[in-house]
Amino acid sequence: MSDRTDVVEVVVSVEVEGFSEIVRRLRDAGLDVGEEMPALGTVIGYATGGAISDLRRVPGVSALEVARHVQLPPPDSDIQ
Amino acid sequence: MSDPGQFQRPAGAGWPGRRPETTGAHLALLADDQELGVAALRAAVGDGATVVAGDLEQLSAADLSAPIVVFDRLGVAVVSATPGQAGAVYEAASRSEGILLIEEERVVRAIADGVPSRDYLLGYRAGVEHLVGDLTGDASTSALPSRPTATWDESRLTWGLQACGVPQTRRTGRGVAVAVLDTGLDELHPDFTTRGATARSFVPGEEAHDGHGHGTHCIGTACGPASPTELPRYGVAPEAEIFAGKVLSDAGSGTDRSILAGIQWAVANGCRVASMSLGAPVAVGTPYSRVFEQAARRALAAGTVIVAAAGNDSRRPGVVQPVSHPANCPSILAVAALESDLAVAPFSNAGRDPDGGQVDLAAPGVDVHSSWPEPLRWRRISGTSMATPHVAGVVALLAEQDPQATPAELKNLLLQGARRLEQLASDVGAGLVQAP
Repeated sequence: MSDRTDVVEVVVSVEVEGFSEIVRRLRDAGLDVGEEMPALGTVIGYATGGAISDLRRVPGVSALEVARHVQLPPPDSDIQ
Repeated sequence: MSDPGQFQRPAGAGWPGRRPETTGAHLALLADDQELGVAALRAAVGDGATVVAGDLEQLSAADLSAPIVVFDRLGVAVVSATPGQAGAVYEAASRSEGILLIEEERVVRAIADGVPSRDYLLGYRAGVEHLVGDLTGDASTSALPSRPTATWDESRLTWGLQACGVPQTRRTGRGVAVAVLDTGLDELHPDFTTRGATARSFVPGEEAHDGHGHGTHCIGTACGPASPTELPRYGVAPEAEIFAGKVLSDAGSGTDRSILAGIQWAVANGCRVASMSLGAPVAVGTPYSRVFEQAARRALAAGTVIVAAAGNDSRRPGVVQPVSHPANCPSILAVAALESDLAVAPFSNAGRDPDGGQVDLAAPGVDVHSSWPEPLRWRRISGTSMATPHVAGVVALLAEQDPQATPAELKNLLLQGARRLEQLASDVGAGLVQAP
């Protein structure tokens, strides 16, 4: 998938019950699964923009968001 | 009140794009004969306008969406005027003997599905009561003045520890696991070499060592030692067990992925609190992250309270920005920063999004002395990042005091124990965090 330019990192909230089955369905629907966090019911991975609506429709998925970025000020800044 | 033009409509009000922070709603302080002022407002927005009167507890969500809502106990009317009506409202306020003062509503209402949440309504009431206090000079005297005359002697303890009541507590956080999800820890710092912190990096290609400084400063505030190699003492919970999760790179950057991985690690290690001095700015009205909210709820259910920085995007007076992601999630406690005179810091973000997004607590966040990697060893900096670990440290003290307390109980103790401040709840939440 890495050769596709519209690939985005996504964070997905899913039901804790049946977690691994939901992850399998997400894979089938086009998610390149990077990290599985069963305790939080969270799956992180990469998907093309076109696959996102399919991923949202996977049973057991409650929310899917494009991953955000956080940035601290440089170390010499007085306000952190 | 008979002098026409006394109430000037603020320039640009009602111009979308120029004043995005206003909604077209206005607060009018009514004279004793409330009907007189209400009649004038009604004439200004149209004779057919519905008027609803009562106390906040009596009014339903539908009532509160009426064009004119009168809080009769407070003597305040909230008028929702279209941009075209605003001029008429101000003119009416100028002419009517029944209206003492009028001003624009300060907080943007972005109410999903038209139903205000309880948090929003409580914040709204606080705002109205604050306005009444301002206008009548009858502000509550039970709250701590925002600018006490006392100055802090920092020869032994930082002002922040003193303001949080740390000198008076017997608790040290002993045995309580505290996660600080940040840029890691300088494990070679002389104040930490004997502490045995557990460290892990979630940043690809980087060790858990802190190559920035931010993480070492935050860990210092939450868990720094009782007797540092040089005074003053700066750590709230000196005997807490440190879990230093590196979720931000040495360049200070991170993603949702590393942060969520850090939260999972904190939960898996039985940390009672995870401190996150990080965030991404959001625009007013941006919904909070459903993914982080779910993760935070599951962390709470598993025993971990999450506190996060409200963000440093404001430039007061004038620019007040909403609480950042992920602190704007309802299940994550958002921490604002206070100056040493207990006024809200000029950069500190505020609760401007009613659906989640409120500030829960405030803590010292200006001129905060704490640990910094070699060769500096210690440094004074400011930010909601510095306020947040004060709260995490206090959670550790509370958890030591009551080891069986659930996260919900810890959260309640934290909010109930906070020292009330004479400032808007949207700026400081329940007030200044206090050690038990």
